[in-house]
Amino acid sequence: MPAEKKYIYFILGGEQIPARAVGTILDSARREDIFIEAPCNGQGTCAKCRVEVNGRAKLACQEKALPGQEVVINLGQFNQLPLPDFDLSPWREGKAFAGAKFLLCLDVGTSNIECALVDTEQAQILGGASGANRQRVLGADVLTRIISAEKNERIHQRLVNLLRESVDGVFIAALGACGLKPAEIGAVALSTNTVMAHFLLDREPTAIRYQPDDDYSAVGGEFHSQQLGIISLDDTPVYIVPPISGYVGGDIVAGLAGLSLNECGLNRQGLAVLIDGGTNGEVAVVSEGAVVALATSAGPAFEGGETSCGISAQTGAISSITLDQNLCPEYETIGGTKPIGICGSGLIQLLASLLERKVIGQDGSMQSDKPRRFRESASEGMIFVVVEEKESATGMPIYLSEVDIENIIRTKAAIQAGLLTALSSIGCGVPDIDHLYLSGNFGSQIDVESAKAIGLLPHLSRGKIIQPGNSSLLGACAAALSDSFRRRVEELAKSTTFLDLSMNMQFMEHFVASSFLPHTDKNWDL
Amino acid sequence: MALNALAIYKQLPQKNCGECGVPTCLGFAMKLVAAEAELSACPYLSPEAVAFLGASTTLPLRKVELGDSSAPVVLGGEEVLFRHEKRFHNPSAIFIRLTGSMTPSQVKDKVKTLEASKINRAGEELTVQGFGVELRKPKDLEIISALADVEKPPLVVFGAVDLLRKAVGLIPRSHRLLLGIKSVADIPAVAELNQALLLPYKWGETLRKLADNIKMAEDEGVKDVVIALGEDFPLGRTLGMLTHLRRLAIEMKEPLLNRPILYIPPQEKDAEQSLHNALFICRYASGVVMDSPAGATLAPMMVLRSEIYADPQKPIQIPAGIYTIGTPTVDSPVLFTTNFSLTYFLVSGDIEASGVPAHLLVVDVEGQSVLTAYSAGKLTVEKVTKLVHSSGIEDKVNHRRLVIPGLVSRMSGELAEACGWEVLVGPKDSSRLPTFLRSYTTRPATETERQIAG
Repeated sequence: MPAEKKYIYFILGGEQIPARAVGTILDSARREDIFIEAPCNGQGTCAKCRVEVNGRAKLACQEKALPGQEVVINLGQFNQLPLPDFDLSPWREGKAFAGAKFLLCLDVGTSNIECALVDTEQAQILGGASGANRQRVLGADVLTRIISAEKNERIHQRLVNLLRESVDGVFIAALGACGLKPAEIGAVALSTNTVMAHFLLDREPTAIRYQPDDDYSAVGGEFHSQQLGIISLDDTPVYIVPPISGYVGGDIVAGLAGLSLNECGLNRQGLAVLIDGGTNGEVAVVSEGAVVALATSAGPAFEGGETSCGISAQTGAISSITLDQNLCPEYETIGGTKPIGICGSGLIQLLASLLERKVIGQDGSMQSDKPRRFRESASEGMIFVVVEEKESATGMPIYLSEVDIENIIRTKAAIQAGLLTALSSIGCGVPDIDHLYLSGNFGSQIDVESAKAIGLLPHLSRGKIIQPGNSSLLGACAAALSDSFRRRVEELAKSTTFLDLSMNMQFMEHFVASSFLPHTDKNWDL
Repeated sequence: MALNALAIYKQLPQKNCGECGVPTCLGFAMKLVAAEAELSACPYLSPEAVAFLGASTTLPLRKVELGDSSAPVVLGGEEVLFRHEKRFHNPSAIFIRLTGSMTPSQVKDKVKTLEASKINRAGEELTVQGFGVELRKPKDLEIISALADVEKPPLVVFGAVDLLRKAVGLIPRSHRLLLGIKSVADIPAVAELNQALLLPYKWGETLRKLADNIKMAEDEGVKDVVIALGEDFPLGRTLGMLTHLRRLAIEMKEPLLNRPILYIPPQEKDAEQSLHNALFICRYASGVVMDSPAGATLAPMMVLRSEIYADPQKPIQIPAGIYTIGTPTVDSPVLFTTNFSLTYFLVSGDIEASGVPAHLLVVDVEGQSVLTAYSAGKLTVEKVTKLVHSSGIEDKVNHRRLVIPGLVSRMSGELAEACGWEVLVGPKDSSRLPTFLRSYTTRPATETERQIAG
């Protein structure tokens, strides 16, 4: 394309988007509804808005937009997935896709996508991959994306393409990891939230925002790969786990069924809770065969979003951290490399340690008589420096600010309030919980004791809290293998009661009481 | 409600058929707990389940239905002590007492004046519920016939048993009365009439005696009992007793004293009666009585009642449409706002204060204020456009200029394009409307306006 005057060009995956050059690159991007994460809002302090300008890495907020520039936005890499330890043997005889030898199973999340390749004969996972959901560049949460898709057809199409590209990318990476070719894939099963399912199938998600409790089961069931725009597969059957409502998707159904939680109180005694700590923050409560589910729209604070130095769980992410008496941090990174940021589990541990050392007050404000590690920032309040510039891989300090803490508090309070609301809707409380499953990547990595300390989890005894890994992916694998499992998810999607929180006063009350460290809600105690 | 949703769910068919209007059985159970659904909505309940759930879903304050069974006046049926805990359900009924000799035409006049005293407020019709008749001699039965003639049969009748029996004979069978008897000895005789029974507290003197009387009535076969209070005690003591009775019902789940209460004020001046009644509408009277009310004393009582019994969890809404303020002409300004009642009252009040007659369009956004509705995506360009085109405002004015709330100035461009009107951004705060509107009228017409006006 000839470089027209006044325009700069954003490269988003396969698309080139011209934008009027106004102010900085960040300003120009925002005018075109392109989301570049910038929690410091253009102060140049957080270094999260890194883009590639004419082949060189720059901060979008510090770089003046000059006509003719080509700006490549980093959409994240596709990584090999550590092999999940799922027991798929119960679903072995299912023969859902007769004749297929290798199955592709996907969990498509709002922020991340995971994929596993399953060998039908062994009922085993051969390998997998994960990657970012590239839709992230157009908004962190599902609501923002629905609204931008509503605005115009072009953005809707852009969202559809970005999601399909991401799915394709993760899928190719998984094939590469196992040394397989696309033609060897016999079938695909995927679990995802309702909004992503709409985008995958190129359907308008607008209605979800207005009628979250309508029936959206039409985005579940059997499809063909062309309908999902998976170009590398020709005419392969695809099964999508049906959703419960507009805000509680097939990923939760897959998780519940995959963990056999629907049997709680029937074949198994007791009350079970499933929490998916992802961007939508779904909570499901199962007791005596009755299932209640809700979505808290917790936000991406535990997945690397909304915090200055938060990143997803990737190489170089601080995943575990402790502070000594003098607030000197001792940390470990994923892969043992120099740190580039802090992932969700690290953030929770850091917050718990700061709370334990009484550096953070109940309202999240910082105060300390050891000023060495603290700095004052005009836009972010007080900040606590975890890694100095010279020690980090990026050359920027890695820190936690008061604004970050506020965001984390909001996220954890949403999940906490969601759990309390779901429990009280069936007349139960925190002491009635027999098993609490923390699903998702985030759920499997967090330090339970730290999560209890900040009020994200109730003080249940250790054995009651279970971290089963990505249960949505587990459910997708089971749905790929077994026909009876599919009947089970379909039944579950139909019988689960969805609680709409948008007009729920109880949720608001719990949310307000939970918006402290650790919390001020008496219902949270055992 | 004693049972929680899970316990109720166990009794339900668990078919998740959705025929009750709720997609899942558990969802239906939750609605039963919240008293937002009736057990009868489920077509698949076993008789055992109905018996079990019916008993446990009885409200702590019993419900008594009067009048026509298809649209009854409901007394009681409450489940909380304070409105903010959930909501109050059945507004205190207001009964007009007719006594002494009245000719049929006097009675009919009374009905007419009462019809005229209805008021419409924020989309709700405020009215009295009906008449109470005191029968002193057989001739008074004519009042009942006269009321029945104009299809306004009384709801409460006081008198000796033989007169009550005749009164029951004069009204349609589907119509249920509340009968006020002369003494405890009348209970067995009145029980046969199969109507609701009013038992004065004063006969009991103690709560235990009152409970005994209610027990006796129940044993005789009376299903519905209402307690009468007032007249005989000082105001403070009466108020204390009403509060105490409501506490017994809600907090202690007392099985006999959990009846709705009819407050009967002393026969004083109209204004004083209305003051008394207002006091007891605030504190737990399920019904009140007035003797000869005028609109001026009824209206504040009815407004007070409507406020207390409004659901605090739902914003009060105004029906969408065109509202005229003052006597607007074809040149008067057209403004729009949302249908949250508070927003509407503020905006309409401020327009009124400006002295400039205007047309106010009210957009249905499920009762939210302007900015809330806009952020929630409920106040949209499409909705406003639709209202402008379908409300008939285009026939009422010669110009095509819409004043929009300043807080949603962002809508202006898109709105002008979609509805074809010129859009003028009004003030952000409605208190600035008087200044704005006064200068609006003096502003010279724009080119577009001149063209439209020809």
